Amino acid sequence: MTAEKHSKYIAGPFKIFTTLLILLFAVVFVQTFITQIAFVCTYKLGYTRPAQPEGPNWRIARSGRYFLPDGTIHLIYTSDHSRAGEDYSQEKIYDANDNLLWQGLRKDRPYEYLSWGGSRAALTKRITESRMITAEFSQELEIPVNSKEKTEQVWRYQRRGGFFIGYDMKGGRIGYISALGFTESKSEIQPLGTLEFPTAWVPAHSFSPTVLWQTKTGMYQINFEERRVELILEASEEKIRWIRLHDWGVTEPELHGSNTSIKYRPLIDCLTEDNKHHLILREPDERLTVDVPADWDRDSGAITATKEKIFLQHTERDFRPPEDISQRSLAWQRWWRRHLSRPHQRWVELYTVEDGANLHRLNRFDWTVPAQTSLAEIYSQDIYSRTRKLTNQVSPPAYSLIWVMFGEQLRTIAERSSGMIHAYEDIISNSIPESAVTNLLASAIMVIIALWHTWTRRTSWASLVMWLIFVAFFNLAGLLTYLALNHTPVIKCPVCSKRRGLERVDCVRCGAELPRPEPTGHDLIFDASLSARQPTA
Amino acid sequence: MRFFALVRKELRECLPWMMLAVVSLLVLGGFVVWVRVLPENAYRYPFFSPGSTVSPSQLTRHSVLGGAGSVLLMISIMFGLALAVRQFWMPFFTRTWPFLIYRSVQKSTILWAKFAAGTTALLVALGPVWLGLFLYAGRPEVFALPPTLRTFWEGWFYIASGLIVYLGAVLVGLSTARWYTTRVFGLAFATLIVVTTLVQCRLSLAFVSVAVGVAVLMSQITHTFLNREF
Repeated sequence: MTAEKHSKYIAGPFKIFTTLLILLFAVVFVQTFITQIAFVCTYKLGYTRPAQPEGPNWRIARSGRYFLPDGTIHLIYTSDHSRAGEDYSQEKIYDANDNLLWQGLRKDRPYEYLSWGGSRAALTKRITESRMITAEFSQELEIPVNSKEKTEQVWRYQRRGGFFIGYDMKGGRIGYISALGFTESKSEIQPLGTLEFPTAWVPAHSFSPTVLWQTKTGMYQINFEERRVELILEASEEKIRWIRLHDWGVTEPELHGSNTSIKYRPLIDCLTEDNKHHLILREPDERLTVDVPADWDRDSGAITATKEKIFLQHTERDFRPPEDISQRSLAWQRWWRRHLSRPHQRWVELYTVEDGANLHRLNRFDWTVPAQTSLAEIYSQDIYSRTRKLTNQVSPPAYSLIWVMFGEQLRTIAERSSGMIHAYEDIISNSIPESAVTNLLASAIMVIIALWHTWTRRTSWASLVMWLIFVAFFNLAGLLTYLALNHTPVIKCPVCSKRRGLERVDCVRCGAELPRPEPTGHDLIFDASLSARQPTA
Repeated sequence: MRFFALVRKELRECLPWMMLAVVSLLVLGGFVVWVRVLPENAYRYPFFSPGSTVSPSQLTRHSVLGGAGSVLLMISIMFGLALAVRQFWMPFFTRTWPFLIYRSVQKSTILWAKFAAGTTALLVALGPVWLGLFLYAGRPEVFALPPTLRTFWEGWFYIASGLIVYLGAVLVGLSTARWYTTRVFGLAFATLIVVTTLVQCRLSLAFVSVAVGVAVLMSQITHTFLNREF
């Protein structure tokens, strides 16, 4: 009997937890479903609107801004309707004073512009997700060493030890590659450090990838074919924010054409969290640290190096999103749309990096971005956000509280986690109500409904208060949880004729006990108190 | 003694399902691994052209046991469901609960005997076959790159997923609520736990997920079983 009694103290809270969890998911699912339906419907509605004619300001805003090696800026406008193939798209090239310089197919372009390194940070997620268990096991990082015909060796990364183990294709072990280079013995290895992001390419005259192994604070270049490890960037005190490569390992014809006359130097641009660009250059080998002004947008700088000069391009706008708003939140979208709906200034600057890593400005171009005229998109977004705002009123106020207290930590965890957890965080952050007042009002309505329901069924004041607080905290999901766990039938009290629950012996209104059935001679269950009073025969 | 007698009885009843699970995993899982061993289906790495860039996704590989893992997960979940139906749903269908409950043992002994038999059936049926497949794939003459130890532990999480589904289905079977209300919440919660386990990148977090799932479901099953009428 003890086990039966005591089990409810553990099972009860767990039952509430289970029910609440499932109903929270259900509410989020319904909210997302409704807003997506609204988005799809309004998007189709808006899409049929005719496009508005574009003025010169729009053309300038939509043009690409490219610099010649002497610092001259050109604006290249590509019509939206001529993008059948990149090389065969129609281009118009203007100078900074909006004079047309040239028009024709891109492949015939008479100018050659500076090209910039690219960031592959978006792919980081894929490496993180490869560790997810999934339905067919997690994935391993394996680098093959190929000949022209077949794979000769495979190097598998051992996450626990931070090194690679090499296997030949007959299953034999070749050795180990770690921060100290190739070793045949495991006792001589030194960990490479936790991988943040690998960048890989296949060198000319090879069929095997070379990997740039980026950790939080350092970088190695690993050539598996030659079993060579090179320390590219010493471990710095500041965390690496991103790296951009230009002509490092492989040339990038998509950036500057395969027949370029501009001779570039291989470059790695590594931006650390203290807003310093650490440049690693080849031909000849050189290392530089470029300190950019603290008020620059951290991600707005791009660097390239030719045989003659090192250039830095900096793009800026006259407003900047507040850093405390998540880019995926509704508030951020609203903020962004509000700024796009009025004209704003943008500018691009070209600097050269002189001796001692000083910046010298070569050119600057300012332009005005007109107010957003794509009404279709704004209309669609507004309906979408209005629907979301409406459905979010039934979200738990607890979300807002958690977000205020732990939002930053949750975002950080989600950023580093798998796509699924990222998606959960996305859904939850999108469910956070915008207005605390209307959200609390909705919550209060739920509390009133719960109070109306529980009044006749109440068993104790403590339980009643606990459930009301619970409903206030979780809004619609809380009310549904309450109903799922507490709904019982009610009867009319034979004494006061009002509705009463059956969980208590006495009526909650008049205090009368439940009526006892009249005893008959055929009853199998006897009331001990009554039988004790009856005289024995 | 009565407890072990009950466990033996439950195991006897689960035996056909155990044999079916063993044979299914052995045949299907073994077939998937055998297909990978064949020279014409040998594990190949992508060909990289000189001077090309390589996407990080081209550098990651699923284990050679990936296909067998999917089979293990599927069979584990189906087996968990079958065990729950056999142990906790069938007595309702055949109206035999009173014959089991009203004997000279406590209700909790009957429940723990059923749990012990269910868990043992899952582990005994799937564990050795999974171990066998792993050891086979780990031989150098079969695959040049052996599956990692992590893969082995992940296989046990697939088996644990079957246990979670088993517990979820047991709770559904014991619930007195209507099927369109909170009755299905046991299985819904089990599904959430299985998905949460499978999206983890760290085995420790996957273990926590399974442990939470087992604790939450077991406590509710115990409470429901001990307090309901049969």
